[in-house]
Amino acid sequence: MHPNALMLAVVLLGNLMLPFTSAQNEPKINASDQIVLPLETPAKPVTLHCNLTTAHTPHKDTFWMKNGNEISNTRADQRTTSFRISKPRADDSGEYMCVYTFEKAPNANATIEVKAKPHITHHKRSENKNEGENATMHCKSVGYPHPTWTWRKLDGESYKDIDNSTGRFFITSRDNYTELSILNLDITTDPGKYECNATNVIGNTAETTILRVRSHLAPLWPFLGVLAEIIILVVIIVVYEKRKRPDDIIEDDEPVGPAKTNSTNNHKDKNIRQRNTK
Amino acid sequence: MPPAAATNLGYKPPDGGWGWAVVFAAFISIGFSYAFPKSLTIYFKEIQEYFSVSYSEIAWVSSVMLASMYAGGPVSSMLVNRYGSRPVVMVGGLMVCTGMVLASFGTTIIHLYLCVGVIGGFGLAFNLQPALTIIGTYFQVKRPLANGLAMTGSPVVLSTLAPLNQFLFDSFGWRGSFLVLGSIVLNCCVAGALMRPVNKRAQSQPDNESSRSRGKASVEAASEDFSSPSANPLAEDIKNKSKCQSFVSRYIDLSLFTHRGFLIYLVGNVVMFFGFFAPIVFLAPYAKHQGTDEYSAALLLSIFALVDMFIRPVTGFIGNSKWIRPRIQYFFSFAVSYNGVCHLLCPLASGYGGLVVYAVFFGLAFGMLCALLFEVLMDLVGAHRFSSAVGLVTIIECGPVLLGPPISGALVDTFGDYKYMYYACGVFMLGPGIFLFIMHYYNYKKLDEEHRQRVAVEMRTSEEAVEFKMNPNEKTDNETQGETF
Repeated sequence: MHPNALMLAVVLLGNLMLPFTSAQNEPKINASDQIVLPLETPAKPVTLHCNLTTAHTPHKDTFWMKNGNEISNTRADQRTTSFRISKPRADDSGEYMCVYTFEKAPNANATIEVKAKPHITHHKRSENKNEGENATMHCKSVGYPHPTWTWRKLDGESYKDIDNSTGRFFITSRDNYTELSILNLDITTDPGKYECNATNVIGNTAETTILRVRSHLAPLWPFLGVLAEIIILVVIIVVYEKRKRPDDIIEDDEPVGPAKTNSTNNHKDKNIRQRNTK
Repeated sequence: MPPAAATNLGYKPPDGGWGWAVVFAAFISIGFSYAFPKSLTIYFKEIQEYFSVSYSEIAWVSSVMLASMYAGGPVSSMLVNRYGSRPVVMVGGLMVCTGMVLASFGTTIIHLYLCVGVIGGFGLAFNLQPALTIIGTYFQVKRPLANGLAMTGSPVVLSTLAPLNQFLFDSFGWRGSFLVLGSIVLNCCVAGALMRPVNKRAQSQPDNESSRSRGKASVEAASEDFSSPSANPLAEDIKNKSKCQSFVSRYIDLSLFTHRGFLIYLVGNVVMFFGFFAPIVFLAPYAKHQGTDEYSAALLLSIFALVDMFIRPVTGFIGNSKWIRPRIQYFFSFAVSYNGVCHLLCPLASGYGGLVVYAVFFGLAFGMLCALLFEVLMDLVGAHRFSSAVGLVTIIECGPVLLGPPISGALVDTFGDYKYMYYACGVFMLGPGIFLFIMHYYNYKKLDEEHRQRVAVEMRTSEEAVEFKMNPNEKTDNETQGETF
């Protein structure tokens, strides 16, 4: 054969081989697709799978991570690994990674996204404040991806967005937490139901908080009421007593016969009297 | 009947009739006095956040109120001795109301100390002493029962005020609640209106004239405080002596410190009060420490209060029975010792069931002790001197009452375990219990001796009087001869 043709064949073959060899240098992981947690009762268990299909160096072990933190008790040394969530809840959602470690090569990982509708875990049912004070309402949620928050106020039958023309409303939101602050409460416009709404790709949830504004004069009415009741009672008692008093004095003047007493002073008095009348 | 200084009232107490209305009035007064400081603790969290102070600074409000209530005892006693129960109770009610209303406008924590603590505390002191005193004037035969019923006011008012305070707090916030509470506490004025001074002249006596003069003498005696029956011939001397004495002793009887029974009571009580309140304060935290949840721990306190509420009148009734009444001091010593035994056995209680059993027995013990606490003092010193006695006792008890819970708290913190605190409280109660048993045995013997001596002297003098009456002429000659020497 011609020497040039032979060299060309080798180079072509080498080029064809190159992807294989470089592919063999990178481990290949077969992982589950992204999962959306059903969150209905009874919740069916969910399992995440990872399979190390090709690796040119033997791997040491494998473990799972959630949201950048290693999950304990998941270390194993098989090529296939799975992570089971037996009773999935909203806070089981997040970014899961199966990680394979190697002796002489960097770690390889695959990411599986577990998404769920946001679930509001913490909110105040009611908030009672005096007028002129500041009120704060908050909502806390769990779930991935992090929701976007909106606040609405129940106006009649429907919810309306909050009207901040007076400039007293402040909303601060972070990943899983939101806060609505109302400064200088107004007793006519501010009381009512406020709703925090958490929305992400999968769905949305909302919770309501009732805001009550107490007037400064509110406790005055019970105060005056009880005061009136007490004055009436005292007057009744004193009048009753004044009417009974004359009767008592009349009874006192009636002659009373000898009666038994166990006072030992009687002997003394009799003695004194007898001595005095001597 | 006990051979104590109880038969020298100078009139026969009604033992019924309007007395039961007075018991109801005392029920309200005593109830507010003891329950009001405890029920205010519901507001502390919010007030603490409002004024941005630490928990211990807020707890001072309760302590100042309790301290003022106990320290105001002697002042209250002096006023009762001078003016009677009714005006003092009404003034007390007005004072607490004023204190609470002023506190609702308070701007700093110091305002709360002054208004709720000092003014409120003194007002409650003006409620407590007169209520106890007036029972002694209206009841003699049924006095333990009346005392037991009146002392029931404390748990009943507490269990009424606790949910009421919570409701007021939710509706009005702490400022509004203080305003409304100020008006509610004015019910003490209504109670004061019911405390009609007992009619000392409308009682059956062998001779109206002598009873009137003796009635007047006893009214004066009430303000000048002499109590032994044999003191009638010495009445003149004592009147002169007390006029020379200082202003203070005119209104409060400091000679009580030479009274044997009073001293026994004082020493026993002062030691006992170190371990008195701490177990109640730490019952819920101890339960939570054992692992029960908040609601079950609160339920323990409710069980305790319920048992306490029912045992007080029952104890009064038992104390009134003819077997117990003459030796009621022993019953009291038994109640104190039983408390001590309860606390010593508490660390043995395991689990929530054990704690429930402990709460029931502790409720029994505490109720018995409280129902008898003032009855035995009345029994020892008599109704005339009771007002001064209770004033002196409360101001001296002020120390242990205030120091008790913090010392117990320090014990818990040092050892990290509640059982040492319970052992300490048990010892603080069992010790005085045994001391009281022994001392009262000795005291009863002495009183029996004195009673026998007195009866012998009276027999002799009445025999002489009979002879004198039979042979008046001979005796007068002898007497005049005697006088010319």
